[in-house]
Amino acid sequence: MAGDYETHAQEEILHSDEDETELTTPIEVLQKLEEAWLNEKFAPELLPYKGELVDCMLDQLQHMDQNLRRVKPGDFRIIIHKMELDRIQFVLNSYLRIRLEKIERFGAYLLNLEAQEEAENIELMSPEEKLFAQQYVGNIEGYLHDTILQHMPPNMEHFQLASVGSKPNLDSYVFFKVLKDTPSLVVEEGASETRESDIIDLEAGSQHIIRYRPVYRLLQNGTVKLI
Amino acid sequence: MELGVGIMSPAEVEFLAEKELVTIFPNFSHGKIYLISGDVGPFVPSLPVQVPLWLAVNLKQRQKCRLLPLDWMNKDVLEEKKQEEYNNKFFTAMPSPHYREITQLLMSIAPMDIPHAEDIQTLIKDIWDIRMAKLRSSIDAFIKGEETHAKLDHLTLMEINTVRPLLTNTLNKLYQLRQVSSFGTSESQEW
Repeated sequence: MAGDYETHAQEEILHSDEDETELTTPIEVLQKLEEAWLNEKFAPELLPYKGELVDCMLDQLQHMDQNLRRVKPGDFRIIIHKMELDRIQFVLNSYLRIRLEKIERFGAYLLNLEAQEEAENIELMSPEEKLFAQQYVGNIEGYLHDTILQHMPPNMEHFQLASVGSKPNLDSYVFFKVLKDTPSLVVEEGASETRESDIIDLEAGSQHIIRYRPVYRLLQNGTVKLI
Repeated sequence: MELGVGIMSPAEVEFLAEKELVTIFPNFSHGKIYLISGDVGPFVPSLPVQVPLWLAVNLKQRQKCRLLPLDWMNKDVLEEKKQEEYNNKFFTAMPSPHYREITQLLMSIAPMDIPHAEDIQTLIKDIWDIRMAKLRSSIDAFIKGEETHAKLDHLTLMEINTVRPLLTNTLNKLYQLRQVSSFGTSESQEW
């Protein structure tokens, strides 16, 4: 039996030095990545970039791919590993493409936001995504200038894309599952006199449909996940 | 393939279902295989071993194993489940969060491995229909009651997915309309 090719399948592969120093196995990274994928898919806004998970999984894929090259052709395991690699690649691709789609949609808004968030030390976009956003928005602005604005009277030539560009609708409804017990979430402020504030308790394991705005903080600290 | 923010295709739900574990009886022997998503094996002929569904499907297609039906894939269990679902006002817990997809997949690749396969398929479809009817009537009540949130315990992903685009779009529009109308009234009171 040749077990020579793969070695460290489930040792820890990721140290996060900043917050809790947790040892993470590939299984956990994959699970977190899949969760991040679904959250990104269903959230109306762009979520902070999970660069650590992506890089870590890419390393794993590359490592496995190299290992497979060393196995002699026709080995029983190759087809199984290839299938798994394809499945993981699919999740990764889908995650990144959904992000690009959001960046195209909200480009100018995101660049503004990014400038503010930088102070708070949150990585909203990866460097590559930021570059893409800048170029994309730049191209649109250039296009608008060439086709329309330059033919306008001089006092109307200045135009901020961010002021008219689309913004994510944080009031869209989402489905989510609760991961940790959370008491008294305010779902709806008592805006009018006729309605009291709606407050609900979130039990771990329960599922709900609610507007995105009241739960987005819970999403970012991992109390809930979108489904 | 449709990619998109807020949209999930049935194929993607099935993709998630394929991670569920099933038991197979391999007809070959092989040591442990170290997958990124966890180890599988060792495989010994005729000894049961748990593998993810996507692997089971592949092995079955290559005629390298026989499948053990999941313990809920049983006429009596499902008859009982159907009755329970029928009697209960709320959604009951399903034996698997991906019961529909798993049944569908196993029936298409290994109908011979599952006793009473046709009956089981019918029962699963019946249960699905009962649940979808419940879902439709609760959505109706939810919207007419102008509720701001709803609890959806035990609803499976595939079930959520069938109503997702219509329901979320409707609620978003209703919310917008409500915002506009409440803004209008508070303003008229002020002036």
